[in-house]
Amino acid sequence: MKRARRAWGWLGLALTCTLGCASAPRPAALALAEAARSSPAVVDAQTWAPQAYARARELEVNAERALERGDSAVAEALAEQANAAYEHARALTRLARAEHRRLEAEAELAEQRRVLADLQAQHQRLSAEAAGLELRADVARGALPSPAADTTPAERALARRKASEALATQARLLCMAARLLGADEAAATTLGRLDQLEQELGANRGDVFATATRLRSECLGALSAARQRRATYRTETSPGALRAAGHAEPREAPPADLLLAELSLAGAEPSRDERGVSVALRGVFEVDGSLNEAGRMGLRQMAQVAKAHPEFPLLVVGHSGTAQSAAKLGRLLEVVKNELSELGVAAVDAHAAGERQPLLPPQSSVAKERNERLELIFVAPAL
Amino acid sequence: METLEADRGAQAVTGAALDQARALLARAAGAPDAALAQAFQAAALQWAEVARDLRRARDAELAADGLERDVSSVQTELVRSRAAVEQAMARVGRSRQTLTELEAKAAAAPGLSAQPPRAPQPEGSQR
Repeated sequence: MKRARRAWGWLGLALTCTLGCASAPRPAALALAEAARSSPAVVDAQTWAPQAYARARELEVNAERALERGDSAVAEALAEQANAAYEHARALTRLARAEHRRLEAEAELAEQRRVLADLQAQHQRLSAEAAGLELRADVARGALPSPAADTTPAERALARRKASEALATQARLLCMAARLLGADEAAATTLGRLDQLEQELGANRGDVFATATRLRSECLGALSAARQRRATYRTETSPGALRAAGHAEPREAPPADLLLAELSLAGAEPSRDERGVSVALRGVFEVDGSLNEAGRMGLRQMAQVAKAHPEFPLLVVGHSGTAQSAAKLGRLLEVVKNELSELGVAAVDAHAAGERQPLLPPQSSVAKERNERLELIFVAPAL
Repeated sequence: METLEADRGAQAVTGAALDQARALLARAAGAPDAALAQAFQAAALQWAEVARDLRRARDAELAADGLERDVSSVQTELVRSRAAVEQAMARVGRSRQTLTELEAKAAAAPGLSAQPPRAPQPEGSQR
């Protein structure tokens, strides 16, 4: 009995000792603090936010000590502080990294802006230098003899002669157009002077460029005056007075644009200039100089238009592609005039321009085909 | 804390930390003694500081992002400017060559002095 009592006594002591000496339960916050300490972000904090890390570690250690003392409530409160401190260390790490990035970006931006400013200044200097050199080059170029001066006097004279011939032909066609519109006197005077000019050109007597220019201008003036007179006559003379004087009442001239449109619709590819509306026909003659079928058909079509619009007298101009064909032009134009007369066109005049108004330079491979043409000009009584 | 809570734009960053702070304040209010209450209050304050610094970190990150975008734009401009400088250098080279050729032509042309008349210097080209 005594032995049994002693055994129960030892057991009770052992139990008391076990219960009395057992450590307090470990707070969850402490486990969280331990986990936070080993997270990579907090490990980084040892470098980026060492003070905050040290403070968190100190709190965690204090919490462990409180637990060892058996004060679990204080241990938990300190563990909560340690958790917050680790999180703070993490936030400060993020802040420090961001600040570092910001400062680096600021420094890089400042450096790049400096480089950019240098480059822009360099560009400005180089552009100014280039502009200066270009200016000097322009001045140097201007001081050189002009390319035109490289041509020989003979070449210049030939070019001026060609230009004079072209101007003389233009003048003649303008005067003939004026004559067809009734400006007989003025046109006849200038045409006479153009004949003299042709003689001078034929004899190759000096530079007649200025004269040719002046005569062209006079012919254009005569044509404008003829148009003006017709317009004044129509507005100032009453139809009754015209009938009493035995004149037919003048019709209102249709605008040249209308005729242009009409010829376009007929597929004639017309064009307009200061003389009126013109159409070019090509390949209208046989080898023997007579009209071929296409030529007859083309002239018939043009005659119909001319008869429908008698206010537009017809001026026929022959252009040759070669010097040989130029010699035959006069005879060919007679054939055309006769054909038009037979077709009932009343007012017709003709001129052989030869090679003086080419469409393409003679060196071109298709120059002959393009330049050789019969031009029918419907002289516009009003523009 | 009120200031941080009022910042709606930063809520995604500060929300969790502020929640922690509020929870700890509640525990401080229910603490059995003053020392424990003070410890929980200190933890709550620590979380409030976390929220504040997270917002600062967010602001700094946004500023860094903006600066990095500016760096990228300036880099593009740098590439363009380098190309423009190279073109200007080529232009200077071409102009020099043209001028040399013209001066040689002028020297060879009869009746012309080798030195063409000096052009006025454009502004900024004098160094």
